[in-house]
Amino acid sequence: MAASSKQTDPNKPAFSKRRALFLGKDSDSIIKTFFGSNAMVAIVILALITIFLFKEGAGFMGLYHKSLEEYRLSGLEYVDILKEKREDYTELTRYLNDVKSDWINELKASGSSQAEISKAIFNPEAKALFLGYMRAGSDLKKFVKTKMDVAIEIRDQHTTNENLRETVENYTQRIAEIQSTSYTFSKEDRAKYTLLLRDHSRDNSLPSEEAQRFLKEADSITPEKALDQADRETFAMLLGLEAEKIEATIKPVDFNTTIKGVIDEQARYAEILDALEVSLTEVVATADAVQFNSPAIEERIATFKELNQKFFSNIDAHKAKLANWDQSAPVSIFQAASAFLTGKDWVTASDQQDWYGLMPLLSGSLLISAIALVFAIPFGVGAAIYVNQIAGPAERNFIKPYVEFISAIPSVVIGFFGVVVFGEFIRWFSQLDGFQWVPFFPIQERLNAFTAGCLLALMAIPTIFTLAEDAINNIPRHFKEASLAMGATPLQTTMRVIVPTALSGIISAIMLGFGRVIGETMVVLLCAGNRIKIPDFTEGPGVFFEPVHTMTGIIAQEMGEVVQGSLHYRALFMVGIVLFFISLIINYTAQWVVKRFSKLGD
Amino acid sequence: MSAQKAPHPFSKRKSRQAAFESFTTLFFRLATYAVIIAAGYIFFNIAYNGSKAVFMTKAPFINIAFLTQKPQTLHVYEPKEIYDELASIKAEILSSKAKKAALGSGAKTEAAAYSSQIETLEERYETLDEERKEGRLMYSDSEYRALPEPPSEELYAYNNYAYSGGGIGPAIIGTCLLVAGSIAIALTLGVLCAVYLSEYSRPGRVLQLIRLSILNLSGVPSIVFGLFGFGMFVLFFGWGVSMIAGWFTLAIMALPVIITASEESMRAIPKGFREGSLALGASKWTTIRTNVLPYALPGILTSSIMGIARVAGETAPIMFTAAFALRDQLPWEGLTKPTDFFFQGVMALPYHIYVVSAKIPQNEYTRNMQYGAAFVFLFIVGFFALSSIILRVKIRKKYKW
Repeated sequence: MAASSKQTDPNKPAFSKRRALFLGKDSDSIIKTFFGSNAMVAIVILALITIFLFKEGAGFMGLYHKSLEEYRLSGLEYVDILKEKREDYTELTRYLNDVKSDWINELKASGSSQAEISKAIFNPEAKALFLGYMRAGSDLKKFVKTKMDVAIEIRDQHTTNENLRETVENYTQRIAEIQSTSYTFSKEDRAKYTLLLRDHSRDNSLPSEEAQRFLKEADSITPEKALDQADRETFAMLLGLEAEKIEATIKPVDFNTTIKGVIDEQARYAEILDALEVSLTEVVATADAVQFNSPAIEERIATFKELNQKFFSNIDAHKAKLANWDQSAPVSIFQAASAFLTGKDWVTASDQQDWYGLMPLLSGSLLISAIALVFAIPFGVGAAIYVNQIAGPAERNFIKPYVEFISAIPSVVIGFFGVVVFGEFIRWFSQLDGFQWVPFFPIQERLNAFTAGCLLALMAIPTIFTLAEDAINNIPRHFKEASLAMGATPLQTTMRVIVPTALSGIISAIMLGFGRVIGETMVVLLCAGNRIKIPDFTEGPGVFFEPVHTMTGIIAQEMGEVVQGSLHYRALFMVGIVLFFISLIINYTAQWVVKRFSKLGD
Repeated sequence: MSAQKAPHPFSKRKSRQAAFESFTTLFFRLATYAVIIAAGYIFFNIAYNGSKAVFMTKAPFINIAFLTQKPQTLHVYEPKEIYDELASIKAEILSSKAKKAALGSGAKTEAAAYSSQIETLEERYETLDEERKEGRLMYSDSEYRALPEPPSEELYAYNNYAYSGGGIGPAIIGTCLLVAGSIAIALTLGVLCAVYLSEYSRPGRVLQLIRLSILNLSGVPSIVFGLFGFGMFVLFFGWGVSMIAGWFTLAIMALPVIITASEESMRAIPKGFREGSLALGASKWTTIRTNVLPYALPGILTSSIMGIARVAGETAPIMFTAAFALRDQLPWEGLTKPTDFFFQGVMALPYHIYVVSAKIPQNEYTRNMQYGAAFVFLFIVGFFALSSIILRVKIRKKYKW
């Protein structure tokens, strides 16, 4: 800068200090470059994070695509369609059992003794209904089970083959390595060679003198003995033999023929379904004969009948779906991508098919964030307004550092508090007699979305408070003074002048609070209940008290246990990528909101 | 409003507006104090329960063993007679309760009889429980192994609880090492970056990009830093789960806070300081070295302490980069060469708290360890945060340009 322009100046002052030049630069500009390159550190790190997340996550789509292809080729997909009907039936059975337990509870409540209850439950009509319904589906269950076993066996055989092929591949590489002239025997190789020689000499198909020769060769190998070209070739030959043996164990799977074992017997399946329909209709009809003596239970039985009708009417569509299933339909890479982004299951290490769907985790994260923000926004923004506009200086000097101090509480400590105190408190509260009118009380799990959400709110409040307070503080005094001079009360000034002017800053504060909440790990890992399932939104507000799992939680929980480079490992990195981009988008939007909607001039 | 008996013309009049105002003000005040009370309760709860583990009623008043020993399995021997009787009483209470519940609404006298029975049983249970507490023997693993022979199985009922005995010494040491190393790295990088931003940079594309990156970096979730550290330091550089991998991961996390804070305190120094130096013929670098950095240093350090508190409090980034759930050796034990020191995993308090609150059951024996660790950790982090806040207030008073 100043220094370098001096040097090009022809009228150089006589007292200018001569500067040492290095690569055409003087020391000051070198120092500047040094600092400048250091300033790039933030950019470099951001780039590195992107690179490494993608490096580890990159293989996911390919592997998942392959896995989905195998899922279709092996017929597991077909079996999953078969299972749909079985699941429906199981669901209905569960519903009926539920009705039964309701009935028992009602009998208990009406003061019947144990003997009376069992008499009512086990009279022939009731027995015909409850037991009959359960027994009617045994054929269906058996059929689906056999088909599933067949499909799983095909898939497993295929996986084994893949692994074996990889081993053979490794052998081929090894042999090529050994045959190259630059190869020298390592210690392990000597041991392996000796072992192979001995093994080979025991081979019965070998002429005895040949076997003797191998044995002698094996005995002669010592760590010092130099091994020559012949040895290398023998070693390669022996390895080749071993590879051949392994290759021989590969039982190739021809999906076109194996699939027949899965999709045959469609006619029999249709028969089973028809028989099921007939027998279920019969069983359900017996319900009329049972004396429930309770309008509520009878109403539920009526619903049950309707559900059964629905079950029957779906059978044709189900059959059509089975008939339309096509093993040879190709799986596109987009299907793999959408199976990840919109998939509803996250199932790992299962004996059937592993699913890596983002939805249960994303919905859990969003649910918890929503709960947290519902609490954090009024408290955070309210406190910011209070501290900046209403509170006196003494109060302000206490509250501001205090809130800053809250932001330093480690998240794991808050999570721990949630596990030992807050979760228990919520369960205790939901079991109080005075609150039983709340429809979803008492709650079952002490660790649920609500527990985590409340604690996360406490973590988001300092962020929202500090930034919102800053935004309010930045409004020039004359806004307030003008409003007051017009005769507005302080609260009118605050609500109609100050807050609207600071709104862009407040919104950006809320967004950054959201970013903090969705990226928080330890609290959700400890307090959210960790059940991988999309929350059941049909339950109304009860959904807030369901245990959920989150994107951050799943990474923290499963990362330590996965095999490096496996599909599961890469799936976790994919979740990390999604999380990373969500946080970037939130950050960017927060800045954009401030810039775009700021009502203050520059 | 209807005029009553001629009020003072400037007195506050009751109106719907005024009522609304005071109500809204009250709402804001309540919101603020609700937050303060909620956080205060967490501090109180952890400090109260944790102090039971950390402090003692006898001299030296601080439970040195808890702060220095390694986490161990706790072996508990409870007097068998009392133990069995307690179990039978508990079963009796449960069955009485079930019978009472099964009675139905009609039999009031019977229900009352059951209630009184349950009450006496519960009293008995409590007295026995006290006896059990007095009669039980507890050994941490090292003590247990030193016993000539374990207490007889006939007299005592035996249980053991992982992680519940011993102390948290290695975890405290590990946390201190992790924090010290990561802050050293973050301060070096951060201050250098801040010098450029405040002294050399000129508005333009590059500066915008740098600022945008810093802002975005501060919003990246901590678990993503953990994944990144795992991918880059642990796997790609092949450092394994090690202290040095944790240092760099944590340093990168703390960087945005430190850069922003350092830049702010450098910019707060009046222009006159620099101009005076430059006018005397000093070079830019000399000016920075003698007239900017010394005055900015207190500010940089205090704000960095806040960074320290944040870094010390994070668990997610060290979960797969640096932390071990349990390690028998202290960091300076069993090293074959000096560099091994950097390439070993350590125990860390936050991860230890996660392990003891998620992986072991909640009961009277595990509670001590759980609360004790949380309290010590909160104390350490709180100490840093508080001193940062107090120092900053003092510095603001001292330096007023």
